[in-house]
Amino acid sequence: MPSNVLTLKRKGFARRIRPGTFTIAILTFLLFMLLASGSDTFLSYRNIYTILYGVSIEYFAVIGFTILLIMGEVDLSVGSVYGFSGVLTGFLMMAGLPFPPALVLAIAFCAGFGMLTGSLVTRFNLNSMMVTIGMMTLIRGLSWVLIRSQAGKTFARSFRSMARAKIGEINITVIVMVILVVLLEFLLRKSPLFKKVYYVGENLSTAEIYGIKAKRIKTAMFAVSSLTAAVGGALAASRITHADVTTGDSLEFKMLTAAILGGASLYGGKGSILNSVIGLIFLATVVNGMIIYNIEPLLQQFVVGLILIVSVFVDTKLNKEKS
Amino acid sequence: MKALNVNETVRSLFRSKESVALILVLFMALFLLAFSPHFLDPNNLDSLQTSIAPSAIIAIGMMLLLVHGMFDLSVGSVMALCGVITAMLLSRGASVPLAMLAGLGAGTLIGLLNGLLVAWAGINPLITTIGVMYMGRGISEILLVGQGREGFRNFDQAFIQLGVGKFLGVYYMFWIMILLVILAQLYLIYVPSGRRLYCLGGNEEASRMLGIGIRRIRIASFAVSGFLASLAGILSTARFEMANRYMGQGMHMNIIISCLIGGGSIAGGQGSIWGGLLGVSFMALLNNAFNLMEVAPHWQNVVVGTILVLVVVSDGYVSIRKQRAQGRG
Repeated sequence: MPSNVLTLKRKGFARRIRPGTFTIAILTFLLFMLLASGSDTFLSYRNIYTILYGVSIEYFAVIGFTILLIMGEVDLSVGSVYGFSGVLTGFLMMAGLPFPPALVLAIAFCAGFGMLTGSLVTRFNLNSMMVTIGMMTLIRGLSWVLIRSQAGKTFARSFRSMARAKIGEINITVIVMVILVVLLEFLLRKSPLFKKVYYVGENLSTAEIYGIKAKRIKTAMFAVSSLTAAVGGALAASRITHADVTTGDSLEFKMLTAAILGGASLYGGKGSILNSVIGLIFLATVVNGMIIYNIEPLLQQFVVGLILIVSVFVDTKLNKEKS
Repeated sequence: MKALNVNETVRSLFRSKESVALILVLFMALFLLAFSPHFLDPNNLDSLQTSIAPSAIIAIGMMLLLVHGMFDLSVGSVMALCGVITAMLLSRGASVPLAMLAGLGAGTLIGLLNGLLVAWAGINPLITTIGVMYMGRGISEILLVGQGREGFRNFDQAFIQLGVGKFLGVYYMFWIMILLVILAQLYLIYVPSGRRLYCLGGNEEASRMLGIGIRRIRIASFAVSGFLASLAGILSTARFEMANRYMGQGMHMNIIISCLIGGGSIAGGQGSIWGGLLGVSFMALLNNAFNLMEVAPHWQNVVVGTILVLVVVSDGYVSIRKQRAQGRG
């Protein structure tokens, strides 16, 4: 047991100086250079801003997703929650609620779902993947049920303008993203709670022996994962201007790819929110580049799948070398 | 301990978990018999057969994987891709056996790829099969460029016969399914390598010490899963006389849910082919009930999701109880 304490402490330090921390940033930078070298449109302010604006809505979902990955759990229901929150907000507004309470209620409801998932996983010691697949199916079904009354209608003006709010020339979502990511990255390194998150992910039983309430933290983080996905989904719905059940389809795999590209591991104990967001920017850039260079858009799925496999392959090899 | 008792484990599971699925199926069937006058219509029975057969064929492969702790999310995508490949070759004038061989070969190759990535490269099966799922979907989209929403149509009559033909009043594909289920079930119970699957799923470390060729087993099972998925794809292409991008959508979830209901477990070490068939039948009957009772189809996912969560939770509850009983909780 004493050796475990040592590794816990050493890893906290080693994580910061581990080579590979900046891999995804460097990769993204190289990709930018590559794409910029062959096309003027790519480097234009408009294009770069479009990429950033898209990510500034989606990245919410990756926050909770990454925290759960660090704890060694996977939440495959993020995509469905992402789609559901917009539909539910619209539904509540149709039922007569004004916009702000409808939004808050919808997000709280989604967080409740996450709490339920988390307590099922921790209480019965379940495989989080299986439970969240069930939740995903269930929530997608609920979206289909609730959307019927909203067919062909656009959201009220107050809802639609949310994602479009600007300070000067820049969307508020982009500004919030920068602030939030920096803040969370700081917290992940400094705050006792987030350090516990890493400890639980690295070695659950040791963490429990040292008095960390792993189950409680996990349950809370499942709620956070649904909460962040719901916030992102509400913004996405606001951007699309009408309720759409396909919002967030297969988003969970995009989040997974982004997080793994950003250095998170399926084995838990690793990952950073900043790097996950950069991973998302990387993926968005790949897709954007494919559009600019007129590469068959249908190949996108193929490429994203390939990137996922390759990045996990590298992750697996790295983990093997360590052990 | 666990590995030494493979025989007993297999037998006791055969008695317990599948019986729950059997009761569920009987309940659904009785419910439909009692409340729906159309349940026994020939049309309805026909559509039940053709919805069960492809799913059950895929479920065989999935069960073989689940038994040793693996799973394959690419089945729906492989099913579509192989259906599209066969359909494309047929519509370009290839002979029926050649086109089918190409489809089956492609499915087996993709399965092999899955197996190699999991067993040799050591990549997590979730990621491997999701990645391959995407790639497969991408390829079928590309093959479908220039085709309408319905995809490829106009096949040779001999090929269509494979999907719509009957023997003794039962579809060919249903006979194929029955044959495959029996063969696979016998393989799991009586053939040594089938028994090793349980051993491997029960305790990987012990299996390695016993000298079981883990990699070979994994690669072979993934290949079988790919082959069966492509067979299902070809059969449903023949049945519906078209192959398009909507084929096999959400199939992977459907099959995994069926297998879990039928007594499989993500943790491995348990499950049987016949349980898989029961799970698939339950899902098909549930689907049928929604149609016959004219419930809005939107509710179906809600019900299926709830059932899956309940099944997973009860699975976890039972295993916790078992551990406590053995003094390990």
